[in-house]
Amino acid sequence: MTDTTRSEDRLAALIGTPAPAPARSTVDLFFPASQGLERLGTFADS
Amino acid sequence: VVPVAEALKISSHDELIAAVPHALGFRPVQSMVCLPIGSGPIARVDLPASDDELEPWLATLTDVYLHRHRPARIALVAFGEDGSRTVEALAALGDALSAAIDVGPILWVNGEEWTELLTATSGTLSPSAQARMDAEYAIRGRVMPVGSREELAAAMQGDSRNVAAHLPPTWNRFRGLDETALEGEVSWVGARVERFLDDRHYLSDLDAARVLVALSDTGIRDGAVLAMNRADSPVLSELWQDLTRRAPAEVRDSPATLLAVSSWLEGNGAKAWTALDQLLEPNRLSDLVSAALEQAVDPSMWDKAVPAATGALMQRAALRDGPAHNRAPTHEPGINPDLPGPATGR
Repeated sequence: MTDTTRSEDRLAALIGTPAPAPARSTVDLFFPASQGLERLGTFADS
Repeated sequence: VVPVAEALKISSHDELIAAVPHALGFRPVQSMVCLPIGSGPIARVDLPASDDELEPWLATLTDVYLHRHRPARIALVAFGEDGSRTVEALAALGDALSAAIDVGPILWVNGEEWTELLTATSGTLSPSAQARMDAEYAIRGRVMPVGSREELAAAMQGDSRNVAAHLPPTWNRFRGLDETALEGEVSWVGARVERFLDDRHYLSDLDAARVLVALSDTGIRDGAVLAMNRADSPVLSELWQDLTRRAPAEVRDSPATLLAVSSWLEGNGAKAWTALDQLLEPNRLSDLVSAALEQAVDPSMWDKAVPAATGALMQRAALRDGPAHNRAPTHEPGINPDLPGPATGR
């Protein structure tokens, strides 16, 4: 097995058996890092 | 879980709206932005352009928030000048999500004016709220957002002539490497990346040409992928973006693919999509990144799947499999070395 196979397998394993996503517009998703303080932790209505 | 003390406190509609460009890295226009409170990915998507687009547009976002992630609460902020179209999209999305998620506030932003639909309140963005959010993100080391999503692509495009001047001799040298020398080249690329992680000094034109030629070998490129982890990904994105910007077309797809991976790993979906848009030809790794983005795969799973340290071990193990150019077809400038078909090795 080559490193190419390994890296692709690693990503493929995360994705799993692709459950087909619905036809979609391009959605930009942002996953704040675990230490990222931009995660919106509290909100109080003004 | 982020400790409460480290969470950014948003205490008003003004501050929530002011935080959006910082969270995205650019100022959205004609966009819906969904902000889970506490956990889950933030999403930005263009507003539906017509009534026909509304249903598939809703399906896209409910797929993310009802099926793939399930935040407890979500705020919706739509940026648009067309009040009826923007409010219709906000109301439809609020209805679709509210069966399972606490939705609110629901904000329509038009220029400096905002309206909250649940409470029918409105206001003007306060400069003090914007200043506070600018400061909150600045002290966290974040650069100021760019003016638009299109500027992300512009930052990936630049003058390739200085690196191009070094390519012919670099290709000749690379093709002449024997097995031992090729192993040394793989190690050099790894060490050069490590050095950038330490000093963040962009590569000389000669080093850039050498890295780009080496990365045109998919084995070496994927060794660089395996060495990535989420903590290093923001700095690695700086490196891959700089190389994408300076790379001649014949060697540009590899750094652009690496930039897509590192951008996805750092949680920046817009930059990852923009990097994928740079490719002349998609490759198997870029197809997987596209799938990860479309299926809203949380990049934190990358580090959990294989500990970061394992990446280096796997890279060394890969070297023991044999030199890359024994497994790869002969490289020719301008030819994408990826082979069609399943990833079964070369």
